[in-house]
Amino acid sequence: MIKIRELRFLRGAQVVLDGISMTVAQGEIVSIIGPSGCGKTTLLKCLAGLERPTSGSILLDLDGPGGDPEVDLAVLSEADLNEVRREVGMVFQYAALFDSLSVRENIAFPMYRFRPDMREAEIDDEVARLLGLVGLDHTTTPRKMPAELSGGMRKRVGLARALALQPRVILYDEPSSGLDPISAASIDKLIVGMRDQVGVTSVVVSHHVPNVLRTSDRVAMLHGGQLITVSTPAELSASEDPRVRQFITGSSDGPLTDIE
Amino acid sequence: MTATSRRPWSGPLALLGRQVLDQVALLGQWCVLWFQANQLVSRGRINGRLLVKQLDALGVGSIPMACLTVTFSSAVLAVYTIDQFKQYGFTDYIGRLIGMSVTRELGPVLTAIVVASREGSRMAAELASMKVTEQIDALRCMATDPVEYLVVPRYLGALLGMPALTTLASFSGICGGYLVAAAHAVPRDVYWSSVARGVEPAYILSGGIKALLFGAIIATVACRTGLSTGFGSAAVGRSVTASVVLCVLLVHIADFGLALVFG
Repeated sequence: MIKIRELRFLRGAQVVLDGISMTVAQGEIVSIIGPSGCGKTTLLKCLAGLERPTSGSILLDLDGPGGDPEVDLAVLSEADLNEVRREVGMVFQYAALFDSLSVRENIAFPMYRFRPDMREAEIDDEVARLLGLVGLDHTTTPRKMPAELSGGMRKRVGLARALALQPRVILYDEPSSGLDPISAASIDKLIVGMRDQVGVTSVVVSHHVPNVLRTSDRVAMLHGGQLITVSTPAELSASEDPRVRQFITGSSDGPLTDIE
Repeated sequence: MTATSRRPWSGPLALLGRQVLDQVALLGQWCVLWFQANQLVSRGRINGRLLVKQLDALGVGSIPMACLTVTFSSAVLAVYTIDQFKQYGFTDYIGRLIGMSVTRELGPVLTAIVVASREGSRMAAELASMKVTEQIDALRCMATDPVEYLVVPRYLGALLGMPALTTLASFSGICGGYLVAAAHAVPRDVYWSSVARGVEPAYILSGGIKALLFGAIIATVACRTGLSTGFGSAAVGRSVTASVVLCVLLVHIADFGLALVFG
């Protein structure tokens, strides 16, 4: 589904991503972990086409075997990227809801953009369906403004908006951050539910190791802009790499303490 | 993250050079945004609902502040000059002086400063907070061009709103001059006929052109500054300050340039 090849990203003189290569299979949940500043969010933004890598490729296969050839997000123009973006939804760290628009208008925004043929009644039905899918009340929530929602509700609305066009890939940036354990667990449940019910491919950037080990099919760990491992949660838990061990045990002593 | 190399040049000359290059780059960014906005407007990529919202905020919302500012400034001008004019028997020149000053200079410039402070800061703050909360990225994720969705309504709102607002503020300024003149026993007919003689159509036209240009400057600079915001709430504050300072400065520079052109 997604093939990342030798991806490099420079910000000025800083090497943010240094030769990342990995693949994400269709319907898979792959989490990206690593210390702050290791390039996780930059990698996710490259996958969303929000940042353009300095070199390397991000091949996205949207039509499956035998379909059209893969597209390379790293070289597409903004206009061509817009065609691909219909298939790739993103849930932002702080939801990034448009604060001047109501919940209904936020969720309907991509529908107005991509499906101008939809009638208002159809949009209302679809908004209600999506709110139900993410576990929110569809009678009162649509009229609320984002400022009236809790952090967990905002993330759910952000997910509903990302699902509005039924994308095949969803990118999650820190879905559990800032949430209480119960809300975080329900967001994790939603991520797994999206895969099981809708079959979406998910790439999740997270700091929260227990949630990552619980929900992911595979976990990639970045350190200093480089990929140091891509393994299953079980393999990661059993890893002997001192950097991996330090990160998953949350110890302040170890090789990762020197990271800036 | 690792650094591949350190900056090769340091010292005062290199610092000056970098500053100059940064300013040239900034000018380039304004020009690019101005060009993009004009291109989208010429292709009709205008969201009517958002345009009306901006016209309401910039045009209607700024009326009291712009009118009061120009009115009081004109009144002050009248207070300072009226005694001398009366002393030398030039009572029928008071309206001419106020009318000419307000339509050519005070009206457009003071209105632009009010709009730069009130609306330019609002535009910069809105876009800056959207940038730091990733709403601009969210727009792009939904295949929506931030320039088309956010900048074009603000730009066009400023282009359409500024001349109308300036005309209204200038008229209220002339009325402000009249209040002072009336208080100094200048007959109404004398004042208004003097205004009619002093305000030539060319002055109104040049005032309108100034307002149009100032509107384009304010919207372009405020939007670009907002969209270029870095990270965190402190960056939002810096963007708003930079937007107001740059807009006011550029309005004065453009005013001087136009004064040279129109004479």
